[in-house]
Amino acid sequence: MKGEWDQRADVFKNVMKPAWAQQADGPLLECVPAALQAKYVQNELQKLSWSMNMEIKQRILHLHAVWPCRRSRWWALLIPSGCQMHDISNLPGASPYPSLEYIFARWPVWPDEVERELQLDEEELNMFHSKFYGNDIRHLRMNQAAPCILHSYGSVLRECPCGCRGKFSMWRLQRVGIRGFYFMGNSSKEWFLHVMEAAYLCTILPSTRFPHVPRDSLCPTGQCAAPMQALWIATSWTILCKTFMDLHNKHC
Amino acid sequence: MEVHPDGALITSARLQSVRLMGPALEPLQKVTLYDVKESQGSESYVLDKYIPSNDMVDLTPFKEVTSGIGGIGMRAMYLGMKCLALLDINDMVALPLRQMVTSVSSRATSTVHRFDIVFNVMKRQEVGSSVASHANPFPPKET
Repeated sequence: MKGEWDQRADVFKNVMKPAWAQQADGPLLECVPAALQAKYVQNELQKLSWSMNMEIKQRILHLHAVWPCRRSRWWALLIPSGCQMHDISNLPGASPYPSLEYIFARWPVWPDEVERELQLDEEELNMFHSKFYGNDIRHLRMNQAAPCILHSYGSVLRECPCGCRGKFSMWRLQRVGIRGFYFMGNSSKEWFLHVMEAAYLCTILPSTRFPHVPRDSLCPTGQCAAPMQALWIATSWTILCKTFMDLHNKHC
Repeated sequence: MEVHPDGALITSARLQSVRLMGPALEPLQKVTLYDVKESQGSESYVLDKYIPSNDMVDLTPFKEVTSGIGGIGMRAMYLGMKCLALLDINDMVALPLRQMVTSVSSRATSTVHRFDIVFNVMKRQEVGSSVASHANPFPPKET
């Protein structure tokens, strides 16, 4: 954990600056759950909220409570001090948690060339099955939620298609492990999810058009903020604004 | 800005000490000034800010940075918010973003939630009117 010294933390710091410079009225941030405990994140947020006379509302939302895909993310919303807003509430949880079979009665069938591209090669399969690379459940189970789809999903043994990194070193893969999973298609072969399936699991509209081949397009999909969580947060914000505007108009 | 007990204002941005003409300020009070311009060669600061009337405030705009394929923006637009900009360094997301903006913005048009600027107005009225408007030597622009 490089924390503050991780190059990726620069993005956070550089987002804070325009938020302050433009006096954003409701900065909203999303990140992995560790951001809630990261001192430098919390310190920066405190400074920003103090200088803009705002309060911080934070919560970790778990997508698998309402949708069969794991995606736990930290959300932080800055609101003007004095606004009457309770903490961001949790997503309403289903009981039991929904499983994959709720949304995929059967897997879609894709053209042969697409299926070939999505099929795991021998090296990927061997490494997925080796205990040297972690104990993740590799075979997707229909009676559970899907594991979190990451930016490296589909390209863990390759350079990232978006160009953000080269191939992971073997040392890193053995130290951190390989994250990822496959499912068994109708032909009893191991496949990565198609980008439209992955998008649907991340609550992105499956009709979204991805210009790249399906396997490459998995990387931006794995990186996204889940729209369903975003909708939940944005709705809290909408209610807050509506309440405030009603109050404001009453006094005008 | 924070008002020090001796009456000086210390800016939180660059820790500059400034003097402000206007009504008395309470020690340790926090104030926010908008669009302060330093007059060249002078110690004085000039406030020149147009504050829109209440019915002209549009609170729907938002900008999403490091947006990826726009997971936040795509749902915010369904709530009637207007996307001003989506920003990401990754070329791979350009087309999905463009598609999303054109398809959603054509549908989410009429709902008017007034988000952003109202808070500026509120803050100006709460902490700015006692300081900023009194200190402003120029009347606000007529609309």
